[in-house]
Amino acid sequence: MKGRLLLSAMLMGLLVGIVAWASPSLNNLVIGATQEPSNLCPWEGSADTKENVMGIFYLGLTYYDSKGVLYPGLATEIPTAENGRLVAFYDTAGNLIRQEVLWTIRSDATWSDGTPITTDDVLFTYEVQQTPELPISTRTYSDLIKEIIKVDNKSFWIVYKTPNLFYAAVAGSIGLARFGDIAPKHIWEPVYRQVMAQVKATPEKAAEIVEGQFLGAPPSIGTGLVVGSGAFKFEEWQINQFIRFSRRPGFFLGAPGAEANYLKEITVRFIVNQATLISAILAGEIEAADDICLAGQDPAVLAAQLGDRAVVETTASGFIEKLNFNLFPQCATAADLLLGDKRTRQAIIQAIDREDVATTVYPGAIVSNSFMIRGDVGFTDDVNQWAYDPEAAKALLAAIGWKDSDGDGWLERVSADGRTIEFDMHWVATVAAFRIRTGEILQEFLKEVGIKLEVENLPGSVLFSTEYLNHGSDCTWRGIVEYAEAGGIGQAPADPLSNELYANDLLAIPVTPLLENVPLLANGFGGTNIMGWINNRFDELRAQALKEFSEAKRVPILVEMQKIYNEELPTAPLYERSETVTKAAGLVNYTKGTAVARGQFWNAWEWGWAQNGAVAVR
Amino acid sequence: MLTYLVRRVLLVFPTLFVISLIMYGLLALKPGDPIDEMRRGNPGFTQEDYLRLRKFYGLDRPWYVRYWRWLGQAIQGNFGPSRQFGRPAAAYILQYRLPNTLLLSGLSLLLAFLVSIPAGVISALRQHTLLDYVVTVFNFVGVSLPIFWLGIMLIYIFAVVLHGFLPAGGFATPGLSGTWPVFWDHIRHLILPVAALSSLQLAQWTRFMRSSMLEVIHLDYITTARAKGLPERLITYRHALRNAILPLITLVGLNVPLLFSGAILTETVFNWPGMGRAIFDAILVNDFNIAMVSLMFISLLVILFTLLADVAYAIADPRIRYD
Amino acid sequence: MQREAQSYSYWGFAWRRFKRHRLAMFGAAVMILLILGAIAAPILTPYEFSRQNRKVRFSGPSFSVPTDPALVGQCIRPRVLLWPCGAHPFGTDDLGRDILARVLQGGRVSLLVGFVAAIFSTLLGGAIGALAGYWGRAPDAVISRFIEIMLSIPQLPLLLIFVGLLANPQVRFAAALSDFLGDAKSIAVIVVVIIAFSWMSTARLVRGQILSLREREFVEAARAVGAPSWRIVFRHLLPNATAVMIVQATLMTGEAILIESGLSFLGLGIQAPAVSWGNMLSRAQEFLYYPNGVYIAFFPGLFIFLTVLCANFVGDGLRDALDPRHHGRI
Repeated sequence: MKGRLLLSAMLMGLLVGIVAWASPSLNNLVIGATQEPSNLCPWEGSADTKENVMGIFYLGLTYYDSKGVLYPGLATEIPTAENGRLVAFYDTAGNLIRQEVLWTIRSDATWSDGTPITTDDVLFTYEVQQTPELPISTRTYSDLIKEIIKVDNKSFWIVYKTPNLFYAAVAGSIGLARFGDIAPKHIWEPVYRQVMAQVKATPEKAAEIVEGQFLGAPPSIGTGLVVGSGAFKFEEWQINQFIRFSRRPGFFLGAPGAEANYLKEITVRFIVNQATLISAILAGEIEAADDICLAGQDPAVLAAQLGDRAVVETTASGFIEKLNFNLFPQCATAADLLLGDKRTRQAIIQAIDREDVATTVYPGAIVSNSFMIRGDVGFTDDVNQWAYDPEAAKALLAAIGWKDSDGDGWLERVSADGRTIEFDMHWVATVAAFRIRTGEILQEFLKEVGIKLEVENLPGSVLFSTEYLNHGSDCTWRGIVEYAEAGGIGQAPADPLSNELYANDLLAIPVTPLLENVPLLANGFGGTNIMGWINNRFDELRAQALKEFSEAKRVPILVEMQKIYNEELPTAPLYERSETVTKAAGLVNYTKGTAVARGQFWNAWEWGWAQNGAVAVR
Repeated sequence: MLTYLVRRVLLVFPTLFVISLIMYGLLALKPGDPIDEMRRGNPGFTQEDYLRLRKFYGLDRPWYVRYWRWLGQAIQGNFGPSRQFGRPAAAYILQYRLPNTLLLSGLSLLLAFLVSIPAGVISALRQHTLLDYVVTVFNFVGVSLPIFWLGIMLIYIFAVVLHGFLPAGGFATPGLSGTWPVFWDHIRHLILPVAALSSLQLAQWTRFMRSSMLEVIHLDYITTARAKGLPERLITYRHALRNAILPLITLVGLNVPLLFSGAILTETVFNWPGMGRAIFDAILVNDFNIAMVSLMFISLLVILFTLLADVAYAIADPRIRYD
Repeated sequence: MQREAQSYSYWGFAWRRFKRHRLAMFGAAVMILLILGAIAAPILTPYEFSRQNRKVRFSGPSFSVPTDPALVGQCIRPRVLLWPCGAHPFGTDDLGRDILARVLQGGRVSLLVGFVAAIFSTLLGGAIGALAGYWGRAPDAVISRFIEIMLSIPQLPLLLIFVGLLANPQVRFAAALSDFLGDAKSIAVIVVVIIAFSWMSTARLVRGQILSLREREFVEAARAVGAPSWRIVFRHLLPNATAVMIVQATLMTGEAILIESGLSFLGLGIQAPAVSWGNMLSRAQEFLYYPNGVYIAFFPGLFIFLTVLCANFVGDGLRDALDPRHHGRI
């Protein structure tokens, strides 16, 4: 009896051991992710959720490497004025009025089923992108395109109505599909035509048809043939479980040495709960983590737990966590707190030890003082650092008229019409654990200078809804709303549209049909400048920068913009978020390097195990 | 009896209708709609786009109009597509979530049932002994432990302290092939969640079984059987147990629906992709269709099982009259 | 010397029976300790429960004071009994706050929610059940159907929707509630929601009791005298169902605490910065891998467990003590 027990225990242990360890000797990689894409449709979707997964089996016309250098992907070369592919037209006054870009697709670029990638795919992609009946979440860049002219099967001109500074960048900034730029016509056209025919026949059911049969089409949910342009091809998708890819032999991008030395298979495994994901990493079931899933974790603790089994790496994410102030004079509560006066904002930022906040809630993050991210063209750190200085903060507040007249520890002032106003400020953020902690830390810091912070955490679906976020003028949020947004205006910000965040007058670059970017009743509460900050000089400079193709000339404009921002502080930047990834010992070339690369997944063709002969080039 | 049954069955439909109305109304009252999800990642999303899409999806109509449309479709079995998963909501839930919940809840129920009967019986037969005392204390503990705390502590012990001896959650490890490794992998992922989920029921049912058995043992006909000289074992199993089990069956029947909706805490802690978790996530991201179809399904299960339990009890115990 | 006359009242008997139930007595004692601890929480700790000391995050439980005075942090009093300022008997959490202080503070909220919800849920359920039982026929049928429907709605999801709704500042009613109640809003919402979903079991039990009591002579007598229905129900019938209701209330306390902590764990219950045992647990799972991180989860959960356990012990003891079936056999 005892013998049998022992034997079964040993067998169990053996099986557990076999099962628990995915082996590099099979040349595959298991990546862990917390966010699963809702579909694989190349046109639809928001910034981060899908991008990693799509990046494995789609390759765009260009891509950024881990040093932030732009390389041609599907294209033969990057269009520039020097090689004649970027042609600019000026009017008599010297204003740029038109821009034409010539692209040539590589002759050896094919879809994963062998079909060559041609201009017809491009034209089809653009047609779908501009279809009004489809829920394409943004047409900002595709709206800039006047037309696409086919030269031959591999070359085409994109003609822009107005200058597009990001004409060769990634993530849809060229104006084609959001993911991978070019979508396969031979796969998607039948779906598209059928859906459009049905929508025309029964327009009242349009939403269901589109959702069910376009977004829910077999190539979109993985039940049909899924082809991509990248180094790996799609194998299978078990929903809520994983997606599997396998290498395309002979892909035109490769790494030094034999192809067999690099990864043959990649599996992205979805585990929604971060704690469960971490335990899977610690158990060795997951060999690499993507850049989103470990948000808020302390890399030092992870490294201590993992020991020699894996490497923990931190990179900047391109997102800046910031405190957005309500600057609307229409919101009485915010106006009473004199948030419109820049001295108040400067006092608040100096009352907070941002270094301490960053180390506590987001280890690895770097304090930021700009709306651009480090590593971006034009970024400057030569601005006021707003170091932690509670005395300076108190002095500023006293200068505006706040004092603790009743000795209860909180500041009051008397308004112009004789009311006594307590410095009672509302702060709201999502229910993410690190933000709940941030709120509590900020409460303590502000208490020191006599500001009472009323903390509220709401689910993202409420906070980011139009009725809430865009109605600052109605006092829905009436002090500070904290969240992270892509940094600035640079060459490849994490979100191509982040350059609008602080602008008001968009007329110079008409990316939105409505003139003003500050959400007010007059423009239907549309726009992204949710703080209500209007600075004409900033708008002027922004318009100039977006038309300035020469980097050397653009930099001084950006520097001046940053100085204005840093002085006015419409938002108080807390820190640039860092991203922590883990990779099992021996995994090479799995690195993001800089925020400009957008994610880990820009170079799947180079990933491999050192044990199997892969060469580390990054 | 028949009239009672017919009346109960007929009541199912109005009940479902009322439930669906209440739930749809509550969900609709909640501000924020599916389009806001799209808006979140795209600062360039203009107000025009927003209004256009609202009209497109019919979200600009009042909720009772939308409810009527939903009802019309739902009766035909079409619950609409899911925003999160890009496929028909009903098919998704039935194919990917329901089996997982059934597996977890079913196994928990089975475990609780199989263990509580002998535990309760033995405890009752050996009343006032140390064994009885231990079982009673365990029962109290099981009923008082918060399930999610138990889950967290189990994860801590088995996944952290013992370095991944058992996985800390999730459903399966991908990329495994061969029936035995896959099967064993599933078992490994099930052990902790089932242990946590069944703890409450196990404790409750053991107590119930014990008190039910105690009641039966002291009844006259048992004494008579003993006086007649029947062997103790026969008395216990043929007579006492059979009668003592009946109330337990009713209790189990009434508790089954709880396992479906209440498993949400276990599913959250262990990241188990089941229906409870689907409802919670759907409510948070305003995926109406998933939320409604799961809620309706669970309500249906609850009503059906309550009815079944009542009927089973009525059949089993001839003393009950339901007129 | 004359022996003290033994009490032969119903309550006297009940108390004597209760005293013999060891587990129940133990439970009652611990419960009283917890309640006292919760009431006295503000004066029982050297720290203010929300005071952060970010230099000593994740420190393990210990009674010793750190030698480096910079690590000691701010206190409101230098010592409470054996607990000096600077020591953390349960350790500190992810922001350096003392866990024991937070557990004591959280106890105030959790216990308050538990007791208030239990008492009012029992009263509400008792009233409805008594009315249903007394009136009988049509009104009873309607109320019973209503109870059935309420019971067949899956409770937790509906709780989620309700609480989510009431926490949402966009909903006008919720915003008004915020203005009115301020910080106490999430507590009030939880209490109301728990009451709304747990009165049914009491109602059923009481209804059963009333149905059996309805035909007794004292009720006929009252009717003969011309007493109005509500008087009969509330003055004569309901007091006889008191035993059932007391037991229910005790057991409901445990239930309510479990529901509250479950909701807070999911993020929908008591909101930070208020502390409850449940919401201390909601953030604890992500720190299981940190050194000393497990204590953030262990202690609040332990206290929930203890409280509910004691409530169950006491409830069980009360049920045995008050059950009329045992009345004859002492």
